[in-house]
Amino acid sequence: MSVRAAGLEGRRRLERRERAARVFVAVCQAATLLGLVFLGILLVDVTRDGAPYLRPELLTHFPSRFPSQAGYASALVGTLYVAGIMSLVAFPLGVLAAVYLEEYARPSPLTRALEVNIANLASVPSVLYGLLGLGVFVELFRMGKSVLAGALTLALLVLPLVILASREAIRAVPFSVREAAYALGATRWQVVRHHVLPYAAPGIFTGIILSLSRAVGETAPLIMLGALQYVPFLPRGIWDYFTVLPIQIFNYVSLPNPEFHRVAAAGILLLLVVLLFLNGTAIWLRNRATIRW
Amino acid sequence: MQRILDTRPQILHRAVAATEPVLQIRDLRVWYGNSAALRGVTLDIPERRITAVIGPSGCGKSTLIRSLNRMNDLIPGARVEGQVLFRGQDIYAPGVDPVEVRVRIGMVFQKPNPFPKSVYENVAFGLRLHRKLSRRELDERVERALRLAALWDEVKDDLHRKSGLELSGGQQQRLCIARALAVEPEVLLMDEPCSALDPISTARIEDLMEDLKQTYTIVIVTHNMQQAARVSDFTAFLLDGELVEFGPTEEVFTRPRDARTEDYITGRFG
Amino acid sequence: MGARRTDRWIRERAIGAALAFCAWLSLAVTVAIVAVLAYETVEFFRIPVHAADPQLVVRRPDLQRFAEARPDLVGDPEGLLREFFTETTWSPLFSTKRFGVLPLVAGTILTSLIALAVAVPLGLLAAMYLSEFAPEGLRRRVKPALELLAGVPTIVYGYFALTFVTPFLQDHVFGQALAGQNALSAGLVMGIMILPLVSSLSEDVMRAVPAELRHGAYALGATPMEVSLRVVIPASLSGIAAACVLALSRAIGETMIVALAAGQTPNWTFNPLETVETITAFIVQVSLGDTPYGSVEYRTLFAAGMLLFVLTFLMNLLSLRVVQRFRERYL
Repeated sequence: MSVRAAGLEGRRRLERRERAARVFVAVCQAATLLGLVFLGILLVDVTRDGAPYLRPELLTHFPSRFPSQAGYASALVGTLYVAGIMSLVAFPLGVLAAVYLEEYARPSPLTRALEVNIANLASVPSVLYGLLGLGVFVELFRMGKSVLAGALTLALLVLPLVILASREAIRAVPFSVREAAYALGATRWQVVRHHVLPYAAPGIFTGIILSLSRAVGETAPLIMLGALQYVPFLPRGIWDYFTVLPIQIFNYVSLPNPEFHRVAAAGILLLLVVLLFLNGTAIWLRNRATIRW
Repeated sequence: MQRILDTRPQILHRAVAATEPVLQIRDLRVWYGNSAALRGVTLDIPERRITAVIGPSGCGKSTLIRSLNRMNDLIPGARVEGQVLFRGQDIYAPGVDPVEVRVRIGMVFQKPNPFPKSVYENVAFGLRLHRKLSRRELDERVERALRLAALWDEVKDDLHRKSGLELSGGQQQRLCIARALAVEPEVLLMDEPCSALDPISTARIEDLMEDLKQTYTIVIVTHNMQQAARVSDFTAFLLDGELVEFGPTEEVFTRPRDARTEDYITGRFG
Repeated sequence: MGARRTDRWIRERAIGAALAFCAWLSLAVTVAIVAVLAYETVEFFRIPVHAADPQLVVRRPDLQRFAEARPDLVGDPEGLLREFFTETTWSPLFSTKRFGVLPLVAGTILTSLIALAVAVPLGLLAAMYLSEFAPEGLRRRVKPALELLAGVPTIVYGYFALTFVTPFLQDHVFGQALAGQNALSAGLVMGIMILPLVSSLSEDVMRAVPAELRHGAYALGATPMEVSLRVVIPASLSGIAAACVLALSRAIGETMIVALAAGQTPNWTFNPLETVETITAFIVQVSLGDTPYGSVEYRTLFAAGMLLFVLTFLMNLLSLRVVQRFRERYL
């Protein structure tokens, strides 16, 4: 029946290609894991450096000339102040802007330009926001290098992110929800306020928390607003000088004494814990939303 | 009047064909997850003839043809048992390289799928994989493949500039045929190659198949019975994953042995 | 009934207007950024003119210092413009007062290219693995883990680059040929930071390549690697290019990693082992010092910022163009 063996076991060139293919997959796998390995090494290194300084004094002491006395009290309070005021400004503005773009605005070249503009703003380097804050808030509005100026600058920085995230969340609301409400004679704002926003709330909150964690980790824009100054006191209100956690870390790293590097590492661990907490909350919220609906 | 059923294709085949079978399918069973798509198909594909596989949708025609060049390997959850002997050697035996199988047994798909590259690069793609060829040799083989597919005259001036995607549907399918022929397979599997094409393109491809069968063995899956009747030398009728009947096309269509075949062909179902 | 309906109508319109205001605020932000940068940049290039005005100079010690150090530029704004774009010494904060911005540009380009050299190959390989080879369960877990890399604050990366990567490279590879602050360490760490950008976006594009294209290649006897490299990647090129440009843009705008690990000394060089200063690091450096409003030093901040803005703006344009061109040729 058969004429000759089919010879399907392959020839030399094919063997080479097959081997290359297997090596290739392994290389791809390695590349994927490399980044994570890098992160792992980073965390181990930071923990090793900063562990000796993880004591309560870290949270209660002010910056000092002596590493053993140095702490992050002013930085932590400053972060709270700045983040708090920033949230009060940026989050309502961002969510409402997203509501406008999704529910009210009619598609037109003007709206499209607005969308492109927001997307552009999201990719502007953060230093430029710092310059904006310096030129406008600190100087033009004469706020000086105050908590308020810092908070407003950060608010502008995260605004595009909040808008984008909120739009995603609002867009995910099925049309049937709105339809039902409109059919009962509700006005547009009533539909938004009582139906769309509650439904989109978990997604919006997730976006807000992610923007918050981005702002908490920002250093450059606030340096420009003078948040670097040696601040051995708690800010006495929104017009006072201030510092924040990332900047205090930067401060300590820049000092020549290598002991201060360890204090900086401890501060990094502090910062990572805060961010872990924030992101964990975001994930928890997102999961809760899925269960509810 | 009851017909005596004799569905053992070897007997049929030996009695009728003058050629050796190039593919021998032995008790082929295929599962996708837990559902059985093919339940023990045994069939011989004669060399340098056109064999059509017909049957209602869901009967396993595509599964069958994809089992012949191990394309089912790409579907997660697909399981194959049984044998497919290509010139006496089981392509599913351990140690057999599916890549090598696919060089010898080529495939054209239902929806034309040219690469987003130039016409030349489409045809040369397979050649570049398997051989180290000089530029001149490459040019020759590309031209030969395009001539075989009756596409050369239409693209010869624009080989490098025209993207495969800029061709019409019928031209794209002929490009895919050229691409498959370029690697010089012995068998060409065609999975409903004309179902996405207009009647004129269909006719051109059917003419093409008539020419190609002088060199290549062709297995074509089609849901169009008229096409099967027009084009093929042998026909296999599949129903619910089983081979119901196989024989010379003329016999299957005019004197089917199985009642189910007759019902399908006369349009009582499917 | 009629009165209530009018009331409600007014309220709805008012709410609509308030919402529109919130949205249009974003436009105001863009306008503000451009306006602030433009105004101060113009004032920067008019410093020579100011320095030629004796009434102004009397009140401004910074102009005096400028006039003393650079009498050649006094009254010659074109000279300053020329020097800015062509000279290779940048020392506006020192007594020499030279204003050639090229060293900052070199520093920015050097560190960014190193970052790309890390992020693009690794990112593409990772994207290929996740879209073509990885089982679904693994992919679901690895992808968010990679996104983690992008969420780490840059100050943390800067610390790591300065206190771990540089000493490591010094001990094991380059010895003292590697400066304590250098472009290589900063570039490497930046590369890891932007890796998720490249890998995520590329992966999305690759997964969108239709299965038929892959099957067509397999049917011709291609190995999985060949299908990836010769079919999937060419078909996803426009998306991959856009991802790379985006990553480059991010690298150009990065501040803390380069401020800490690359250095604060402008250096006209393309040697990655040397200390360099990027545009962003300079902006930070100036802010660390005392810069009275309106002074020469203050204005250099904005001139540098304007340069950065133009660079990233051009990057955005480039990414749109690249995507369009690839799309035309390959659909």
